[in-house]
Amino acid sequence: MPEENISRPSPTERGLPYWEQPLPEDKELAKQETEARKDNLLLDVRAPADVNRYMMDPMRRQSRRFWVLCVILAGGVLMWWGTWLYQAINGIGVEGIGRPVMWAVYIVNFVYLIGIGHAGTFISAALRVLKFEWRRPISRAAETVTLFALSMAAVYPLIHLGRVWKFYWLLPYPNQRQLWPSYHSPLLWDPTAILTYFSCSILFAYISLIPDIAMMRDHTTGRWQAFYRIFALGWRGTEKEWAHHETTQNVFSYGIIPVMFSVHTIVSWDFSMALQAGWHSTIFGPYFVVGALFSGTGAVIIALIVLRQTMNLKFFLRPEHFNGMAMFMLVLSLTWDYFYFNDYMAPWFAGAPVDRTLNILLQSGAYAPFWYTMLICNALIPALTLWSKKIRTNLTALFIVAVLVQVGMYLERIIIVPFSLARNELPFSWGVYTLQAPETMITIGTFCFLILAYIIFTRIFPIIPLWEVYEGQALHGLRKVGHYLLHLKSAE
Amino acid sequence: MADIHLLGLFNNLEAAADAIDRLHKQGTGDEKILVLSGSPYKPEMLGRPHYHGKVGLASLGGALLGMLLAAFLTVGIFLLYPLIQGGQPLIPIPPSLIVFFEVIMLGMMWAAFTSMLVLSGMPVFKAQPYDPRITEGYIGVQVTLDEKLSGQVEQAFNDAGTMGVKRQALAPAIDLNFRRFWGGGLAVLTIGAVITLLFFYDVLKINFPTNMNEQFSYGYEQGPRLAAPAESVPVQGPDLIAGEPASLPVPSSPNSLQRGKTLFGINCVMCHGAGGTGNGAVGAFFNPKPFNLTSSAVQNLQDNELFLVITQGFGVMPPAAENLSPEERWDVINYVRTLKK
Amino acid sequence: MALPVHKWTMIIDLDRCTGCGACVVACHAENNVPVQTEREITRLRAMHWIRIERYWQGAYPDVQARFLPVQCQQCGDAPCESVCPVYATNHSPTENLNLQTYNRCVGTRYCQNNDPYKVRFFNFFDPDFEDSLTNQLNPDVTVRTAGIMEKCTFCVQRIRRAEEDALSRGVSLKDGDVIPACVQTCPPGALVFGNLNDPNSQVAAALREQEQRSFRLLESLGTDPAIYYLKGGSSHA
Repeated sequence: MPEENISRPSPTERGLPYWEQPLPEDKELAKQETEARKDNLLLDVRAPADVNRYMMDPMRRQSRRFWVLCVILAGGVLMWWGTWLYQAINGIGVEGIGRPVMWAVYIVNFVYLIGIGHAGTFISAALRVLKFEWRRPISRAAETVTLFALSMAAVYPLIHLGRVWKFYWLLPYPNQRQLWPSYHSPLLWDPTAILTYFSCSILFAYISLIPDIAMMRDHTTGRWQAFYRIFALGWRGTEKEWAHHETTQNVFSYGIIPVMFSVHTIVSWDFSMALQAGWHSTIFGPYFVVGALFSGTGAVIIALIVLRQTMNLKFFLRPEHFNGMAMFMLVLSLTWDYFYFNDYMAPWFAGAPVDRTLNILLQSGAYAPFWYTMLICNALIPALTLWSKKIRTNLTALFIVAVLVQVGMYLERIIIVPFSLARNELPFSWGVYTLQAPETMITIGTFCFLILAYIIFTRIFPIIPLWEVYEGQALHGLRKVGHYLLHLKSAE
Repeated sequence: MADIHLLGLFNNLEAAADAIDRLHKQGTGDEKILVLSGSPYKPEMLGRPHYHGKVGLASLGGALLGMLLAAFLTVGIFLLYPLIQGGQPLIPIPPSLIVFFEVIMLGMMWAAFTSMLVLSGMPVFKAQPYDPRITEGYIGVQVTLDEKLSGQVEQAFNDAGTMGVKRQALAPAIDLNFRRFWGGGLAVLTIGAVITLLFFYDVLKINFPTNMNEQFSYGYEQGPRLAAPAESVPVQGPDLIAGEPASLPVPSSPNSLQRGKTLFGINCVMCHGAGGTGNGAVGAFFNPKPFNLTSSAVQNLQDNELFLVITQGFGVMPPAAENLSPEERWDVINYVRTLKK
Repeated sequence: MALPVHKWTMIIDLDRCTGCGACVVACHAENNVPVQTEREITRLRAMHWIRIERYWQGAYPDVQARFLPVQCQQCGDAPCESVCPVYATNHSPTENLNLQTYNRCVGTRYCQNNDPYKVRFFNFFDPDFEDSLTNQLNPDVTVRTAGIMEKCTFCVQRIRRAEEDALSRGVSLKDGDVIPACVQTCPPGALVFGNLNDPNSQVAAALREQEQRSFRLLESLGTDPAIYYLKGGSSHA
């Protein structure tokens, strides 16, 4: 943090700006305050002009490394589109699926990507409702993970369709033939929920972005300024605008949390509504939601660590934020353990032959390595590491744990989708799933798109919600209690 | 004189509050004062009246609209398209509840967003008084007033400790690019929606080749039908095996011959001609020509073979199975036997 | 004239089934089901609307083969129907048939996942009928292209034809008017088809007389299948 660049306007006759408050005169208290400022973003009060600069400088000039990465990722996206076209022309048979494993990697990716999206909403909406102030700098980075993960997740039901050119038959549109889709099917509750969640996430993110786009409009010139002016919608920051803004954010925060829970529950119902062994479990609803939050938190941690290092956002993203996220990930890991044990225990105990066969397949059969890896990554490693504050605030260790969590959660979905389908009541119809090249290429391509869209977004729009940081810094303070400075949180 | 806007900038809350107090003392009403800030402050912090927005109410309205849409998507579609699936009732309640929940939330949140824009007057097409320093934490106090009074307002601002005062006339310029962008976007969306509806209702049509429109299989009455290879296995049952006695042959009675002649006239004359010699009007177009039924080649065939030819067709001759019942086919065969004279 | 309610039912007598597979071939021929290449079969994409499941029973030297012909069970409470998002598969209550509309299918394949008997087949590629083999295709049945689910329909084209013929002649359907291809071909007569609502039909008689031998596949799942199996052999296996 460049201390020497802090601008100090000339003191006015009445009062100082909130970013100009001097340190207390008592040496002990001054030391406490300096320590508090280092640890806590909302106490490390800077002039908004400086905060703007900290955000805008990395957005202005891009290194060669960035452009090389963009080209590579764009190549990945082209690979995705080419493979998808090849698959659409030749037929779904280029995948590795067969009877009875009719759903495989595409559905796994779908579930995984929607899962990642949940943490973004949780951080920006639920933590806001719960008044967790440390969510301020991270909410937009998390919400952006949600937006692009959902956009890629929305593509996968199209990729896995047998006749993708008829996809519009899944939409309820009025037509001359009076054909309608069937809301009996979980496959239609899915797009309804995802449409709600995705569109409302976009609107939610945009609402939060408007004041920051106004800031960009005020600090850029030329074509960029024309761009920001259009999307700032003429925002000035009047009381009316802020009042509507706050109410709308409240409606969205309170509204999108139940939607978030419902979305992954509905995705889980794609499975639990089926009579398939390993799928027909009533606990899938909350189990999937917790799993989604778990993997999503890991993904957001990864995104934040990468952002902090590559865009030099050390002012905004402090150990306190990673500490909070990592504790949250630990709680989710333990909750996931609880739900997974429930899901495992009931069929194990009842011992129906088909469930028993599936369990043997996972524990000692061909798929055992996947199953054990999943348990180690999801249950063991977070439980062993995230207890320690040192590990939680050490970014390298946290990055590794978050990546392992992603691996574990991806394996969990693989075990649920293609591996469970391989076993059913009639042994003559058991099968096996073999991964083929088109599936790998499309998976890699969609993830490339996600990353590419994300990094381009971070260079166009500020990835830290600056107005939330100003609000937090303006309304937080320290209060002297005896010889101690107490962090006073803003009361509303 | 005309009304103008005056915008005073302050870099701390106390000064801005002080300025507003001074304006109140000068007699400027709250409705003429507007506060701009880069982060949200409560109006009470500045001595301003609380503002009650209507976004919450609009969200409820949106939720209601969502409920109506959900009712259509579930109950409406189930009644419009009454197909039974999977032992479930025609209007299953649990799936309907799911759709209701999602669409109600959708309506509520979209209504909140739309009302936020509409109630704030966004996008703002007219340029308003503004200073870029507002997004640097400064607070702006805007007063709309008669130009004559601007002097005392500026004095109040200076006494409170302003960082600068701006003026702007009340008839501001319209940001044309802005209006073009949003107006154009709306127009594009509307036109797109209308064109899409025209496609949905087959007013506009693009004749794509539909997937199973053209079948590889040969339909009835569709040639060419190849003769079966010499030693192939017969198709179906003893009826049609050459050399085997046919089941249910109709004896050659006068009634049968009468019926046969009529049916022959309807079905066969057009190609084989009135005397069965192969000189029919339609038959003239074929190559090879239709068989001469009076020839010894045809008359020496077994009854069953004739039956086979009539039922399944031969070469260009289409099968007559759809037009003639088996009894009628025997009647025709009886008649054809009389043609050899 | 409204069509009467037929409860189309099939009885499969496991005592008579020799596992010859003639029904499989007949079904392929009647319903234009493509024959898959060896490579596709190793990738679990064999398409046999009716298949003979062969199970070995006992240890050497007393090994016995048990054959179970399995096709779409035409469930009364079909789990595959309620998961189709486009109504491509739905129920015909007047015929107790599970209908499949080929041109409406968009290929989500959820129906196969929800089908406990795994009797639905997906067209992974466009079918490849060589030139002269197209002569053998049945014009009454659509040839499906890639991306469409298909399954046994109880030869619904034959059911329709018989109904139309009966309607045109002004009579009602008798037992034996409708014969699916597999039933027609079965050499030992293990497959019997008919209307269970007709007390004089063969299927009704068979179920009445052989009740202690009859069972339905995976009955505990509550799918209410329309195919009854009669246990075979001295061990009634």
